Amino acid sequence: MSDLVAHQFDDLDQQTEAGTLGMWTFLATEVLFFGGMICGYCVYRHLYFPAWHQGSLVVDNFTFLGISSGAWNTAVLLTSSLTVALGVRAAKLGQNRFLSQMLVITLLLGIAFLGIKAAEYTHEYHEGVMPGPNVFHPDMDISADLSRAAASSGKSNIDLRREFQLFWVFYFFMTGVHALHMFIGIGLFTYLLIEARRGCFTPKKHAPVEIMGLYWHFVDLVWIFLFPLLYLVR
Amino acid sequence: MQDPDHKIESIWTYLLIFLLLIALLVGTVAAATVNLGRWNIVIALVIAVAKALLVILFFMHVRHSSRQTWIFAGAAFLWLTLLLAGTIADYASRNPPVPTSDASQSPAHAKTTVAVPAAS
Repeated sequence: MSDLVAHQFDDLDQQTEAGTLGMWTFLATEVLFFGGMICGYCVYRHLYFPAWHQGSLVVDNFTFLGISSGAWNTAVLLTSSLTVALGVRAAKLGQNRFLSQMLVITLLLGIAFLGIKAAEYTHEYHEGVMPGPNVFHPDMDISADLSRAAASSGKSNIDLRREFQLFWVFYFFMTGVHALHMFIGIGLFTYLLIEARRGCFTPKKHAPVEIMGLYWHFVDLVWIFLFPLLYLVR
Repeated sequence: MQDPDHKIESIWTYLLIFLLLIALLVGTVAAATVNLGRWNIVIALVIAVAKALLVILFFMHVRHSSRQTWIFAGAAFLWLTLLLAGTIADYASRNPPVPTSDASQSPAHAKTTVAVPAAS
């Protein structure tokens, strides 16, 4: 038995299996972590639909080349998932150069995602919709839209503004916690890249790439749901 | 236990899944530009679930994973379904909420006000 296998395991397959299962156990807790926020989201979207629709229009209004930045970011993350899947495959086949290249592209895409997200946050800060002490002062166009939405839904202006603010609390928490996961993912993949450059991964020892790949795909999975929920409240 | 060598997908499988995911993304964005009332959210979520299944089964290799992994992954989504179904069933079956700040002018609120009996 080689030193690849820790002494508590019978063989390499069992060890890889245990690692995968451990990551899925962690991901199950993550599903419920994000699930709690999505559950709260469902309740308030149902109760406060007119205000949340207005909030979502502001989010979706930030575009590059006529396409919502949220759609661009979804495309960026889906592409990064492809490069991770190809990287894991390369690690299993012992193609070290290709693995390193895929890891570099994945990292660049992850940083691109955070860059687009930062541009969105800056835009939303200037629109005056970021919650906080004395920060919530939506600009004139948004205020006019809010008044119209209040009139057509039969709610008071004050109520509708309060409901609109709650949309932004959910928006910044859900995307913020997701962005935190992206930072952690970028950290993990930087580690993988350093190890891959040192030639630490072989067809027998590829489990770290596979397990951290699962994490990256999961963060992509969360965004697949956040995009229609926050950007497309119609 | 399966032989790990049999679990390697071809590059073309991954590229095909990727193209499907991008096609579904275009579908989501296109569907959101049309006003379909309450069907908008249904279509958006059906597409999101389809994308999630492609990522889980192919990119995350659950398709070739052990039964244990299926149970662990399935349990997460089972509990999530219970959480969402219970909560949504409650809120969807309630009466419309009473407005809070201008409640005194609201006829809906007036009907539910309980008259306090005068002390004898």
